[in-house]
Amino acid sequence: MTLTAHNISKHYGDQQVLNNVSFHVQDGELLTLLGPSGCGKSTMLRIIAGLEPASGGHISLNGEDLSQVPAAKRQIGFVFQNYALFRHMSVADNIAFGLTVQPRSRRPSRAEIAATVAQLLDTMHLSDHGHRFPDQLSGGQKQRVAVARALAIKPKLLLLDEPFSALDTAVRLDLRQRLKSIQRDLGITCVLVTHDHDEAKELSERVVIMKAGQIEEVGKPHEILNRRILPPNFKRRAVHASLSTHYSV
Amino acid sequence: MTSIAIKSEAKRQAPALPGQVPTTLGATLYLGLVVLLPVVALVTAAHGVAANVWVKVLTSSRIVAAIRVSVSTSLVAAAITTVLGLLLAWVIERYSFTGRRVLDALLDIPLALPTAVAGLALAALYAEGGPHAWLGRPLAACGIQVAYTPLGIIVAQVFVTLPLQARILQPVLRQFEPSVEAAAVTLGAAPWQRFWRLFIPHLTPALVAGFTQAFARALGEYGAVIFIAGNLPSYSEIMPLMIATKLEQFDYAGATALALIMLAVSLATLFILNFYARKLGSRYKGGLQ
Amino acid sequence: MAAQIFIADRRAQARHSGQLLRRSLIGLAAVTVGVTLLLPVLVIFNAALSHGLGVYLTSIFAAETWQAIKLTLFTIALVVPLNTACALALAWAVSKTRVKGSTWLLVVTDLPLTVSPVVTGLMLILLYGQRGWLATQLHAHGIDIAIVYAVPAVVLATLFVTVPYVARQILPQLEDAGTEAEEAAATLGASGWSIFRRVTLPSIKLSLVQGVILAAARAAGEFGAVSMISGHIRGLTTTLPQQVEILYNEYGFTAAYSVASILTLFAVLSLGVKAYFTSSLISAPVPQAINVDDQSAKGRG
Repeated sequence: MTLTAHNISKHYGDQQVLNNVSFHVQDGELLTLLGPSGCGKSTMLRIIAGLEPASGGHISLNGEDLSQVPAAKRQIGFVFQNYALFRHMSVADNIAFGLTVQPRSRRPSRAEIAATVAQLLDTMHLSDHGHRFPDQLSGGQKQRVAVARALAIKPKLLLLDEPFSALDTAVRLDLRQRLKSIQRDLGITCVLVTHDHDEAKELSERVVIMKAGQIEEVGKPHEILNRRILPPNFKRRAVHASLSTHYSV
Repeated sequence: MTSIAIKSEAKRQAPALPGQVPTTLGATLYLGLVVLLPVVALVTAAHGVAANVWVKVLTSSRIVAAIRVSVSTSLVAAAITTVLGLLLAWVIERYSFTGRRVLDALLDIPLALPTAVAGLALAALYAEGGPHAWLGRPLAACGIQVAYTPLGIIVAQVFVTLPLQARILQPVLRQFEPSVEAAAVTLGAAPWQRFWRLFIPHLTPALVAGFTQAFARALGEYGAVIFIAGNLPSYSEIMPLMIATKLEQFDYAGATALALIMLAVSLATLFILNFYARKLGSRYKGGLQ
Repeated sequence: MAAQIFIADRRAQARHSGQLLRRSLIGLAAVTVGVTLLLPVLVIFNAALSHGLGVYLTSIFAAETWQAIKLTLFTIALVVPLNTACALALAWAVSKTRVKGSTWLLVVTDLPLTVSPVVTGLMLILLYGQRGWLATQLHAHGIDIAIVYAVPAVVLATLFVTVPYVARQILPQLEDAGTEAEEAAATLGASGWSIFRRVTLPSIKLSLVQGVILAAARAAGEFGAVSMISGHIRGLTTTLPQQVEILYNEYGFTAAYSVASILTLFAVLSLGVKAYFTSSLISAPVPQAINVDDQSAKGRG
């Protein structure tokens, strides 16, 4: 499933949040949108999911223009930063939700749904927690439920909006690896939004650097990010200067 | 710091902010005098009511009818208010349109308007004839009589309780996390599915609280109801009026007995509201998960 | 080609039905409010002015009306500050210092809301009446003050009835705000009173004003409880709502509505003031996520 953003622009009143953003994601690839907060990356994700309309440009999935397709019909999985779990439903019901809301003609049988849920619980190492409720889970567990829930609908595309930023480091590293292996195994096209350079380096094949609603650079993480140890607008000359004073006598 | 002070500190945490004792004491004293004392007076007096008075009260067909009228109309009114209150809270909190703020402000009318004034207006509005029967006349033409019937009682009760349910629901709707709804959308849920499977469970404690409060309020309503009800014994006579009538006849014992029944309902309502609804509510407590 | 048009139509239909649902719900809400709440208000004004402005003004300026107005205002002036003070003390104890047993305090505060005004009247008669507990106690000490069937009863009844109003407006906001700001002030060395005055109070300015307005409107409008205990002594213990009832019973319909219109005006004014203060408190309705289905095709994304 390939994804293409064609000249996406978005403004809220006078504020221009995205300005002519275009990029392409290959089938099975994990692309990262990286940038400081406020650069428009989360908005971009929401536009892809159909949660917000673009002011200009369009999104196409496998060549099909999504403009007329409402969000509920796009079959695009979305993992939110704050998990967005259904607190009154158990873990198993959360995961099954996307399957149970399908129209009767397309809905899998109860047995099939249960089997899918069991399999996902197993994949995310949550097999003992199916009957629990979100409030009883840790942050890492909640996020795993959120991913399982998104995967249950066999999405064409998986979007993740800073999925690990609310978690502590050890959990974050662990989940990163899980995500990477799941993504590889399933071959699912992913777009990940983050402000964490290490995350981008570890997870993605390509990274899109965004700033102030525009793309600054696109390329392989290691190439770009090792150049960019410092924030993008830090003048290199200053670094040079300080290095030379350091080495002169 | 002496060891005794340390021990008591470890046992009972002093509150971080000062002034707990004077404010608590003051509030407790005030509430005790203003609210609890009258209640105690009623309970004590009821205790002194002879058994035969209780028997007379509970077996009088007129009183039993009044209880039946009061309870049934209050239940219906509470149900109507809950549905309408949900509609109003939903529309005000979730949609943006011109006049939204006006609509929200108008909801307070029953809270600010004296019940006697409301009663007067409703009686005129729903009468079958008369210069202001703007609603009563067309309804009568359809064969529906509102004034001087239990229907009129319900109308008055709905008027008085409408803001209660809406005001309880509004903050709950406001607090609902948008990302949870967005998640449901991305998973393919249609709007009505989102309503039934996300919002109704989320709103249930508030709906229960609102229904209970509306019921209690409707049960005790006096001013708004007596003008439109007609007060025909065994038909449209409500409990509060029975109590007032007994007082006028100086039947203090009978009035006390009836008042105790109503007070019991009030207290039951309070407990449901404050303990049960709060317990349910804590499961949906706001904040990030 | 035909198939494409068909699909486009269905999507347009789905979009349209989303909008349609919204519009009909808004319309339904407006009609509900209009018929249920607005019409009665209009009836009052229409009836009051039905015999012309002259008759209206005569009713308003009648001597008894002025007495009733004075009593109502006097009651408000006494009752609202007292209940506000209690509400503030309660708010501090419950939401800032988290005193134990706060649930019980809140239950007692909410009590007047669920008690019928008639029951309230009876309770006060039992407590303060001629043969009541307090009277017998005072009489034993040679004190003889009439409470029931006199002005003090009116004040006491109104006091009981308006207890919850201010508290219910300020408490939720204070609970949400938590204690951090106050704790920060405490670490900076402020005294309790200082913290209350300079940190807590300003944070609830708007809710406090709204609560006071609602309490005042309720105080002015209290009918049932006052009606039972005031003895209906015209010119002395009649409040405005009672005056309305008296005039109505004497078939002075226009006069009754005229006096009623004063109360209605007061109510409408209070609501207007309250709405003015609320405009900064009501957050904009939750956007975007909700009306997704009919928005996704509005833009092109």
